This record gives sequence, C-alpha cells and structure tokens, in this order.
Amino acid sequence: MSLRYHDPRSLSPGAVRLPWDRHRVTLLVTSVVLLATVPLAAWSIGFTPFAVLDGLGDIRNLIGRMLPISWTNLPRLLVLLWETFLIAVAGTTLAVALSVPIAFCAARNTTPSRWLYGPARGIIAVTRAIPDLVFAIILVRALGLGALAGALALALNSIGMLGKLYADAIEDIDPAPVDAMRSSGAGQLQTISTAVFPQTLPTVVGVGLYRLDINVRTSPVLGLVGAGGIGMELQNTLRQLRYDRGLAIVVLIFVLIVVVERVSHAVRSSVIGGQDQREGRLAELVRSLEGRRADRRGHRLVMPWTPTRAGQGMAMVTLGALLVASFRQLDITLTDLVAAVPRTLAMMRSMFPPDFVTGIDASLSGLFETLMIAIVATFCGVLLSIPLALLGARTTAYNRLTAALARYGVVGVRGIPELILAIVFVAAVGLGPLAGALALSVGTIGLSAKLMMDALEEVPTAPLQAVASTGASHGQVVAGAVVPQVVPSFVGTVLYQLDVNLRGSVILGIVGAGGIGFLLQNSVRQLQYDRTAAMLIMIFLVVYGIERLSTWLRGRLAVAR
Amino acid sequence: MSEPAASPTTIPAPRGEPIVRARALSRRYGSTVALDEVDLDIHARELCVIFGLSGSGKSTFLRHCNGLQTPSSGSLQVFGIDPATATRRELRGLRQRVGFVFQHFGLVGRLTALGNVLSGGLGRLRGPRYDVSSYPQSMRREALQQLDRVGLADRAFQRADTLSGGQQQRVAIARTLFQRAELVLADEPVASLDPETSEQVMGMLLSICAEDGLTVLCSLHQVDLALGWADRMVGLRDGRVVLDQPARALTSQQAMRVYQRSQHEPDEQSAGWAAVETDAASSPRPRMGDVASEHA
Repeated sequence: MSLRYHDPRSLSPGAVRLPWDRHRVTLLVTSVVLLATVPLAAWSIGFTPFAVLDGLGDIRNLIGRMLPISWTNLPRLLVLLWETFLIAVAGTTLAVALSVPIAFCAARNTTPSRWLYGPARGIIAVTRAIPDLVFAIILVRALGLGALAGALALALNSIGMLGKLYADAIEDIDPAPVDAMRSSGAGQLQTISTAVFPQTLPTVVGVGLYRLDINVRTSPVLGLVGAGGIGMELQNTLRQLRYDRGLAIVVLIFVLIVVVERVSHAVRSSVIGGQDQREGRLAELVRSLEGRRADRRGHRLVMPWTPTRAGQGMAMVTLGALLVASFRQLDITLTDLVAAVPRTLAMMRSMFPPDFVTGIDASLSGLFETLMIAIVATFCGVLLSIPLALLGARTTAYNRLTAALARYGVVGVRGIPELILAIVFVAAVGLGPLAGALALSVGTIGLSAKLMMDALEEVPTAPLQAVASTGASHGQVVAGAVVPQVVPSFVGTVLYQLDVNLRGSVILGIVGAGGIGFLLQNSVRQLQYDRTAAMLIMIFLVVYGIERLSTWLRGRLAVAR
Repeated sequence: MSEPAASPTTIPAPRGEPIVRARALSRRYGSTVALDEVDLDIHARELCVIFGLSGSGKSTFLRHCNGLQTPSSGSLQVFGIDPATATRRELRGLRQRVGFVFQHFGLVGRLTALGNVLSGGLGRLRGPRYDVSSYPQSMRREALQQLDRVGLADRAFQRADTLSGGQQQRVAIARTLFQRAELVLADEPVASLDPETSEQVMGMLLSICAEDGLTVLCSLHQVDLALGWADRMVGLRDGRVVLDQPARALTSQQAMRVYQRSQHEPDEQSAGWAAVETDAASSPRPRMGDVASEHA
C-alpha cells in the first residue's frame, strides 16, 4: 500500500489507527482482567481505603511504643545474629553443592539420560514451589529445634531457584567447545568439566552469592518456627510486648542484610568481571613474587598468581573458612546430615496418603485468601514501585536529591524481611489478612522497584538523546523514549512479583497475617501430617499454575514485539 | 614468532593407503540433501581441500568423518572404523586419532590458552579436568611445546577469550597437535579471520602438518589460498562431488567454475541454505581485534 502524503484527508480513518494485533489484544485482556480482579480481591480480604487509613494510625501508635530503642543484651543478640548468618552460609553452600549435579541432569544438552532429566526437573519444580518456611516447619518437626533444620530448610528451598537458573545457563552455553572436546575423544564427564563447567562458573558463583543474599533475609525468619538464630528471640520479645527490644533486633537484622548485600555485590562484580586490570599494591606484590618464581623454574608450567587469581583464591579461602565456622558453630556434623535423611523421609512417609477431606473447606478458603492477599499486594506494591523506580533510575531521574531519596528508600525496604514487616503489621492492626496485605505491599517495593530501576538503567540511550534533541521536555523523553522500551520488562516484573508474593503470602499466615499458612502450621503442630501434605499439594498446584500462566503471558507479549 | 612461509609445499606427497573411505555416502535433513552419494578416498599424508558454496555439504562431510553426524545411507570408514556404527569406546579411540579444527575455534574462553591446548589430551586421560593445574606436569610440558610451535608460548596463561582471532585459531591448532591426531579435519579454519591472518594461520597449519606427516582434509572458501598448497582439490555442489583433481593441474578459473556453474542455475533451495550459512559465519562471536595485553 502506498500512502499519498500530499493529501492526508484521502486516508481512511483505519489507516491512521493502530491495528489490533495479538500483542495488543493480549495486553488489553490482561489489563482488564487484572483491573477487575484487584478490587474484588481487596474487598474479599477487607483491604479497604478506610481500613488502610486506620491501620496507618495503629502503626504510628506501635512506632511510639518501639521508641526509645533498647539495646539491653546486645552481646547475646550479636551471637544470635552471627548464628543466623552462618545458617544462611551453610544452607546456601549445601544448596549450591546439591544444585550443580541436579542442574546438569536437568539441562537438555548435558543430561546423562532421559530418565534423569524428568526427575531432576521435578525436584526443581517442587522445591521451588514449597516456601522455605514450610520446609522449616517440617524439618523442625522431623529433626527437632535448632540450626540444622534451618540450614536444611534453606538448602532445600534454594535448590529450586539455583537448579533452574543453573540448568538454563548450561543450556545457553556456546556449544562449539563441546563439539571440540567430543571431537578429540574426551568422555562425557571430561567434556562437561572442561568445556561446559568453565562456561557456567560465573553463573554458579554469581547466582550462588545472590542466593546467599536471599537466604540471609530468610534466615532470621526461620527462627520464628524454632529453626535457630535470632528470629526466636524476636518472637519472644514481641510476645512480651517489649517492642523497644524488638526494634533493636530488627535494626540488627537490617544491618546484617544490607552489609551482606553490599559485600556479595562487590565480590560478584570483582571476581566475575575477571580482567587483570586492577593495579595497585597487591598487584605489584603479587607480580614481584611471581617474577622470582618464574626465574627459578625457567619454563613456567604452573599457573601464575595474577591479581584476579589471587583475589579468587582469597575468596575461596574465606568461603571455606566461613563454611567450617558455620558447621562448627552450628554444631552440624556429617553424621547429623546423613541421619537427617532417613528421619525426614520417615516424616514424609507419614504425610501419605494426603488427607484432602478433613477441613477441606477451611483449607480452600485459606488458599483463596492467600491468593487474594498476593494479588492485592502485588498491585499496590507495583503501583508504589513505578514512581520510585522512575525517580531513582539514572536514566529517568528528575534530580539528584530525589534520586538519592528514592534509592535509599528502596534499599531500606529491601533490608527488612517481609515476615518481620508482617509481625509489625500484625502487632499494629491485629491478626488477619489486612496485616498480611500491608506487609506484602511494602515488601513488594523492595524487589519490584529494584528490578524496575535496573531495567530502566539498561535501556539503550540513543533513543533518549534522539527524542531530547527534538526539544522534548524531561517528562516527554521519559514517556516517549524510555517507557516503551521497558514495558515488556515491567510486565515481566509484575508477573514475577505475583509469583514471589504468592509464596510470601503462604508464609505470612504463620504469624497470623491471614491465609493458609496458619492452617498449615496448625496441622503440623497437631501432627496431622496427611493434612499438611494435602495443603502443600494444593499450594504447589496454585503456585505452579500461576507460574505457567505468567510464562505463557510473557511469551505471548514478547513474541509479537 | 617467526612468520611461517604461507605457500608452496615441497611435497609431491607419496600417496599412502586410504584413511577415509566414503561409499555412496548420503545425508538428508528432511527434504534437503546435504550429501548425495559421495564416493571419496583420502589417502595418508595427503593435503586435500574440499571447496564449494556454503551449504554444498563440506562441513557435513567433515563432521561425518569423526562421528559428530551420522549418514542417512551409504558407508564411511575412517581408519577402518565406521563412526556411525562404532561403539562408544571405539568412537572415542577413533576421535583421538582424528583432530578437528573448527571455524569458530571452539576454545573455552574462560580457560587459559595452555588449558585449552591440554584439553586436547583428555582422550589419553581418565577422569574430569578443569584448567592447567589439574593436568600432570609432563603433559603440561608437552602442551607448552606445541603452543610454542604456533608461536604462543608467551601467552600460555592468558585467558583464551582475551586472544585475537588468529591467536585463538593457533591455540586450537596446538590443541589438535597435542591430541597427536593423525588425520586433521579443518572446517573453514580461517573463515572468521582477515585475509592476512588467514594466510598466516593456514600456512602454519600446513607446514606443521607436513612436518609431522599428518593427513589433512580441509574445507576452504579461498580457492587461491588452497591452490597454493593443497595436493588435491575436491569440489562439492549440492552435496555431490563435481571436481576431484590434483591441485597442480588446476587453474584458479577452472576451480572457480564449481562456484559459477551453481550461480548460473540458481536453485532456490540452495540459495536459501547459502543465506543461512552466511549469517552464521558472520556472527560476531569471535573477537577479531588484537587485544593483546601487556600481561604475562
């Protein structure tokens, strides 16, 4: 079709209207369904504007009772905090060690056989869908109170995410070296270790450290169900209504989380970036040592100690030391780990057959409430995140002050685990789904705003400059050149957040913030494991269903672009 | 590193016994015929070039020779073994004797140059290895010597992905030498390199293989480069052998006809294939710029 530009009137109205393609239809339908669901969901859990406003007043009261902060018993708290950190280290390390072989079985290009591929994918899907705190509840029952249950719970839950990301990374590698190894007569295991593993190593380390971050957030929470660490102490102080001491614990947890996040970020970027360009004292020292060694040997057949390698070595030693420390301090031995397997299995055996009959009404309505909390919280949280992300991202920031405020706000929220928020909100507005929805909404900001900021900063800047050079205002540049580029990634973030919130909302119930979590914990307390299993299966189905739905939606929205 | 002579070979190669023996070898992908009843013998110590349009079946033939692909029909014997029916152990044994040089090098970027050379010796070892430190000292010494032959001993501990394209391919050649291959299959080994580097790398591959008395079967686009040193030229078109002559009896024009004839009768399917392959070949994966750093 050729347009006659000389006379715009000759164009039919259809020619200047955006056609309804698959992409736009999907987007419209999704938006309509979502906008219709949210008010219903909000109403069903009593999340009304009035209730929220009332809640804000309650929170102000609570904050009044938290101040002034009380630092009694600080040394003991520090020991507990250290223990909490070590639980996260032990759990993450166990998870990485278990996830790597599982991922090699779950990647299409390295799996030794079809018979291993399916089960490996199954393990990943199941461990991902069951929230960490649920693992903790079960393991505390099976193994008794203490750090072992906590570390194992973290490990099991982490396998889901690590295994999946590792398997994806393995499937994404450059296949050329694999062909080259196979062509030279290398065996399967040799090919994997020489051609595949080095390519996935940055992911193994990077994602592992990222998971450590996440586990440091979860680990304080595990204490709430008796799995060791500082969480138990928090629970106690709140029960005694000593909110001033509680605040001190929350502050400590916050500091731990932020410090670990900073350190892991620094390690990730320096170790994985891996180019030998950092100069300085250390580099010089290393090089001078190196020079001497090379002279003595003449032909060098040993890997030289470059600054990068020295850094990596130091990181390895530190990690090793931490690992030893964690197993020592937490009093976990290999025998314990081995003995944990049959005891957990025995406990799991008593879960079968699952009892779907007893109290099914309560379970279903609990599950429904959980889902509603997740939907409401995702919507509200994302709504709050978008402006924060736009203000904080370097590409769209209005000015430096607002950018810094937005960034610190997000970091601050990220530093407080959702469950701790939930405890605070329960203390303020009372038991029920309202507390859960509020806590999860705030928690959403921490993740969503962060992901959105990252997306905004990764936007190619050429279109921005192009639009700005036509004389457009700041707002016009953001609307015309930035937003269109990030829509797919924002949609992805929302769907991912819904996924995360669904899991989060299950565990909120454990502190009385509504949903199925409360029933779940009760069933374990009353030793009705068959009911626990039934609820876990229902949770798994819903989580899995939502995940499939969001994958499908993301695919549909991405293809048409 | 001394510039090795790119051209003419001194050898009127004594023809040895056939090492590769293809009979009516065919390979189809759906309706596309990649190899069509190919009969071809490659003799010991021969330097043979296969050339032809992209999609004419050169790579497919090479990849059959070490069992990376299996034929639809016909038979193939390499060192008396049929890669398609060999047991896993036989195939491993065969592959140790057959080196493969890839267009995109196939180096593991995160490992050092020496580590990549050493990986050529995996077939002789048992158990998994990672980088240099996991190989025995004696192997390291031999690998370093091979790396020295391609002029890169001073880069032994540099990460492979920080080397230039030409250097990477030289590391890959050293890996094949370290493998102690008797037959070297080279699949457009210089297609990702600039003309000058191509000549240099090709000359290096040739002179070393001639020196060690290896058999070379190489697919190549640059006919002039091939005529400079090959013993024998085999032209493929649409999976069929359309030319098979000693290189010295062949002029550039005669050879180019393998390309031209196909252009006169453009057949849509092969044109489509060509487009696909060219895209793959021009993908920017290998780093061409020389990023030699001061280090090591």
